[in-house]
Amino acid sequence: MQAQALVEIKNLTKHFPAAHGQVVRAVDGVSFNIQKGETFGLVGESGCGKTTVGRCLLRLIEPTNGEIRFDGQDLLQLGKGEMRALRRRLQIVFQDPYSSLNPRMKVGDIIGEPLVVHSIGNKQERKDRVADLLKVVKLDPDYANRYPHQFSGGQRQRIGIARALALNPDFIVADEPVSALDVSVQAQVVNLLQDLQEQFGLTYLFISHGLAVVEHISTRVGVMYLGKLVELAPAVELYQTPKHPYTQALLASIPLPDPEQTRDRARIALGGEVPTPLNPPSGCRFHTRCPYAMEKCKITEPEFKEVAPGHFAACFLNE
Amino acid sequence: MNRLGKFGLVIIAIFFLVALFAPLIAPYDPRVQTQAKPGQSREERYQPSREHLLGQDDLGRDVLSRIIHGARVSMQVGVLVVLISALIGVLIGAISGYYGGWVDHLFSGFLFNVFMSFPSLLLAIAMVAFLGPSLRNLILALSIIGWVGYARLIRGQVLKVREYDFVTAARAIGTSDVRIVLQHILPNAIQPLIVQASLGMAGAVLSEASLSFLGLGVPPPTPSWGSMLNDARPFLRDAPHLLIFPGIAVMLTVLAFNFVGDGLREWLDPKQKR
Repeated sequence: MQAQALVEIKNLTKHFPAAHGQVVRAVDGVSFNIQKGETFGLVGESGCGKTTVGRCLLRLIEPTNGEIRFDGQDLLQLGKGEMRALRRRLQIVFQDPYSSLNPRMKVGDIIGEPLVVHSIGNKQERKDRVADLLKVVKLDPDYANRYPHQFSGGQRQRIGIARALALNPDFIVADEPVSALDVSVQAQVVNLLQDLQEQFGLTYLFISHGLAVVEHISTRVGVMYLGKLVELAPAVELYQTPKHPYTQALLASIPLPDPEQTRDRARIALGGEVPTPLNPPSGCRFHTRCPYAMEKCKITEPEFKEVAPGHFAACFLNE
Repeated sequence: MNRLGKFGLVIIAIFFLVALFAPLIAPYDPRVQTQAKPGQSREERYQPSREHLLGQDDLGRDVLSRIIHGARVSMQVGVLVVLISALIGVLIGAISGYYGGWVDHLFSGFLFNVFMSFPSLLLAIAMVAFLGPSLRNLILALSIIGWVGYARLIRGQVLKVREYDFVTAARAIGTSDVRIVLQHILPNAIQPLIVQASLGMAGAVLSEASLSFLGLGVPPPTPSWGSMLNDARPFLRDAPHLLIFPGIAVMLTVLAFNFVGDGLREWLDPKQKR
């Protein structure tokens, strides 16, 4: 199974330079694989580096260190032209449906731009393709002549998805695609993404700040904290038997519709704020907020290792 | 647009038409000098009369015709200087803002500041003095001192717009830098430039008048408002209207462009809309 991974990330690191010679350790040695056809959920609080991981994957941000392989090719070794060609297979859907569409372009031009950029088809063929794509995301093909401001957030997100699909990609980074939407619309967009996955055999990296959304769509889930992966497991397993206190806390924070049910769950409420990635805590980065923190957590960093088949976690409690 | 802005637009439209059709409108050839009529004193000739509505200048040229033809120089300078300097400014500002890094350091950290540290009119005077006075050199000099303002403005706008997700989306698609700048960044960055440009036209008209007043503008006999002011200076006591009328023309034009600029600023800024 490991050999067929569509995306392999090894020891991905991104440090941003900050004032006074300091560095922001946005992503600090993250490794995981994404299998063809699966949805890999990447979860964590704001500022944990999940978006940076997604952007590095598409080389929209140049990683400081590490290795990214897509379908066996080392992305970071590719030249400008080769990378441009490969972009047809890698796409992204953004969180903010307002800033992700150019307000001065018509919807048809936005969706058709990838085709123009890669010189695919003539004018009429591109027009037909745009109409098809609008239908695929369940919008009226006549919308092609309108401007983005005439649409709601959910509709705009569909337009963004249509743009990402235009080049028939294999892999899409969905960077919090529903976080900015109304709850009622969230489900529609998640369902659409799932339908598209079946229809076109897509592979997703689905980034989210909460575990609730990811639960429905993900095959496997990775949990990030302060630039590091703290737990990675098949979705069902992660939700039922979380091995890292941070994952447990995230799960406990999901609001439940039935108040009776909450009592069955371990209650972990985290205090305090996420420490600054400028100067992350020593040892286990979570020890400052962990309810089970021990003396050695402050000194040594727990290894990220397999605690059950396919289930990885970085915590001394599992030893 | 607000009332003053519309008023400004009307004035500018009138001046443009006057400039365009100057030979048809002007009652006399602005370059032709005439002798005083028998029995007419110098002082009488200055005064407005039925034949010469705004009087004649020292050389017997019709002041009204000269003002009408002077509009040509002013409008040309206003439009061309703004066009050229905005073009240079947008190009350099966009490159500086989009690429950042050492390119930005070179342009905005060094070049902008060097240009801004010169007293601009003095630099223009030096350039025209060096190149020789002519309409072309005047426009060139004013453009060279004018582009920095546009470049700074566009650089700032580009810095803001390039962070939007639709720019990242374009990069994810594999769009070339040139296309990203032209298709995505500039259309969303250019708006404040419109205001700056209309204010810039006022500045250019004023600078042209100043340089012509100093004899460094359009060489005679081509009429220009600034040189008319200069020519009339010795007769300030006897015939103040020779200064007042071209002065009013300069003032009206500059005021109108400023009104339009302010009106546009308000009109384009949704936060100021009531």
